[in-house]
Amino acid sequence: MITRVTQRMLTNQSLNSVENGLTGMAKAQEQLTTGKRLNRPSDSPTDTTVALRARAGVAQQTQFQRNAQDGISWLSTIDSTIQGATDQVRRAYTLAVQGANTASNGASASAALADEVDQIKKSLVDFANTQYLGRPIFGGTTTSGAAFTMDSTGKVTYTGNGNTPAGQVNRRVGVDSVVRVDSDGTKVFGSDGSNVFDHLTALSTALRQVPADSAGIEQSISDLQADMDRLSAAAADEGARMNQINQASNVASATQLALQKTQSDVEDVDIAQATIEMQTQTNAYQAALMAVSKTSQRSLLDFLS
Amino acid sequence: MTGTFGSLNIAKTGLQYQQIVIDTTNNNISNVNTDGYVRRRAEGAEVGGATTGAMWSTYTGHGEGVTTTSVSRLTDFLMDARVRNEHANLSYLQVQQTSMERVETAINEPSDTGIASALSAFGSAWQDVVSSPDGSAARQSVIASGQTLAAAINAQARAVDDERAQQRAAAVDDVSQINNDAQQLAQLNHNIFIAQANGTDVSDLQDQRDQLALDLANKAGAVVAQDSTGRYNISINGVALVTGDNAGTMTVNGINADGTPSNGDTANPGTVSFSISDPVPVGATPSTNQTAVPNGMGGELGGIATLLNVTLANYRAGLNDVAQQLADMVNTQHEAGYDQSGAAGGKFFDYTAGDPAGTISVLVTDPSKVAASSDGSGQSNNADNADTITQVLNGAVGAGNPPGTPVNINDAYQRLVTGLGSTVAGLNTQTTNQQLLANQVDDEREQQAGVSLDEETINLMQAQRAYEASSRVLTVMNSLLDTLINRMGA
Repeated sequence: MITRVTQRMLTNQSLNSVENGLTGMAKAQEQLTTGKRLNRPSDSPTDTTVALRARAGVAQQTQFQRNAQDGISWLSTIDSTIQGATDQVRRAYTLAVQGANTASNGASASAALADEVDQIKKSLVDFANTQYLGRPIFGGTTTSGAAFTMDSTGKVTYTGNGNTPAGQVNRRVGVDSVVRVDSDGTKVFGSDGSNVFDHLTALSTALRQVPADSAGIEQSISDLQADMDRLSAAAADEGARMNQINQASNVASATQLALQKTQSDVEDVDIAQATIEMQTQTNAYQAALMAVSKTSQRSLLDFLS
Repeated sequence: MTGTFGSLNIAKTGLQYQQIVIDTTNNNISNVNTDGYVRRRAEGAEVGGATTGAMWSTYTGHGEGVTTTSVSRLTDFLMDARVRNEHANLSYLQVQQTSMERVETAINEPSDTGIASALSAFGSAWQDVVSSPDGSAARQSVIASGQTLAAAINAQARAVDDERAQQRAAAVDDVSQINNDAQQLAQLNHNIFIAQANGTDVSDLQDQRDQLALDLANKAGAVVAQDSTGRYNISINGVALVTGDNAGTMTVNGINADGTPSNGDTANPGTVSFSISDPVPVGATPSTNQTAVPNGMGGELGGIATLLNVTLANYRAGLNDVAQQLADMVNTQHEAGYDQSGAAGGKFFDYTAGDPAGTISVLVTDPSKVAASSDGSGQSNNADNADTITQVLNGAVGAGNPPGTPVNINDAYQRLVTGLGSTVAGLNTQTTNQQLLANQVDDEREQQAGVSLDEETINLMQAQRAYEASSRVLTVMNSLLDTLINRMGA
């Protein structure tokens, strides 16, 4: 209980209350001007953990989306390339079927078919060496720039490394989700020795034979059929991976949004609440100032003459 | 009955006493805002006849006036002890709070520029290498973001080291003030004792001594005991600093006079402790016999010791752990990979053992030496190792993060920051509470020892009236004597 009050006690109390008022105002002002209620770890240690985790998470999910975008570009390139290659092989197949009808073809007509087959082979090699940002999409991680190489005899061999574990091109699109974004060239165009290029060479040779090698042409027809099947299988595989990566990208973007909300919930100030807080603190400060002005001006001496 | 002139004497004692009351009041009013001033009161006592009867003696008077027995200081030793105690606790907390707040500001978390976001950016940079391992742009940005991360860790380590340097300088300063105070206090013990024996008013000396005792409590949590002669004996955490007229000398161990650590290593400055030499008479050569002050000292110095030996040291050690784990983890994983030319990777980060946080830096300068590939067969655009580095940073098991005790470097750093936040939040709460407590004991002391101007005004009026009345008695006596001497027997 206060039994004896001195002027100094009043002064100290005034000073304390004015200081408290100012501190409260400064705090409210900091929150309003920075827009954050978490300005330093001690403002709320638990929220700090949440905020730091959310920030790391947002950065991670953003990166997953970037990776997914890159992967989608790879897979789109592969998709259109396989479409183009399939068209070419289908044309060769048609030519082979025409060539098989040896009775109606003369030698010169067969030679023309063979010329077109040679052209198809050349353009198919170009398809097989399609690049995305300077890297062959069927070549794995090779640095040579080409997935397939044609030697002087016209034989095409796979020089990429997409058929080895180290040759896979992968994109991480989720914490535990890695998607392969290239395609193994041998799975698309066939293994060395019996790839689509060898089949086209065989077809061309069979067509040029006089008289036409009908058994060879029949063989080529069935080989090309198998090649087309392989290409559509590769397209289906690529499509499945495209789906997977799209889905992962959506998940990453949803997760990122959720994390941003979490971060905002713990870090950002509620403007309405902060404004009211600021007003309350200002009122408290004004009240303290008022009290000081009322108490400090009176003394017994005022009433003595 | 006293003689006629005896009555004049009574009036004279009255005038003298009231004058002393007025002087005392005057002094109180003058010192109304002086720190450490304790209000005084002139204690009056009536003067009577002989109190012990003697053979044949009779006292025929009716009181001989008033005398001033003493001018008392209205304070209370126990109250002062409480004030000192609470203020010592407050200083102990305040010095830690202000220091840790500075460190907290320097750490700058959560933000877009702290270590946490640099770590995230570093992980992302490795993922960009996964996307384009050919060329050097992405590889270059891994090196750059590694440098940013290393610089952020260096800056934080330096901020802690700077804070420690500041606290060491404060400790040296405090110790020299404590020694100064101890000398003065011992001298005052002596002076007060002698002056009291001579019957001199020692109130102002006592005020000074209480101020010194409060300062010592603030600085080092000193405890005061009063001996039978009224001297103050000061001890710091149980070790005597002042005994009677003798003062000891405090020394700080582990810090040089210029504030640098004794071992010269600002990154690992060693423990700070204090010891006090046996008290010797003021001015004499300090004794060589030193007693160590046990841990757990209060006051500012106690706070500084806690900061230097525990709080800041632990934070710096934690930061060292994070830096070292980061560097070792990335180095091991980097060495497991192959660079652009197919050669095995080297170390990515470099640091000096003993001060990883202060010295961590990026060793790789050539973008082609970034070991992104895990294909050991030669040149390759394989980037699996870059992906593994990101994964390992996030706590996945890999060459750089052996199974058994896998470390998540982000988590490790978050724990460190949250720990610091909790420490500062705790200090803030404790300091606020202690401030309230200190204000309350200050108020209680002020109630007892503070000067109230209204009260002094009333005392002044009272003394003035009493003085006037005594003067009136003199006039009356004068008139009586005038009647007696001049008007009788005309």
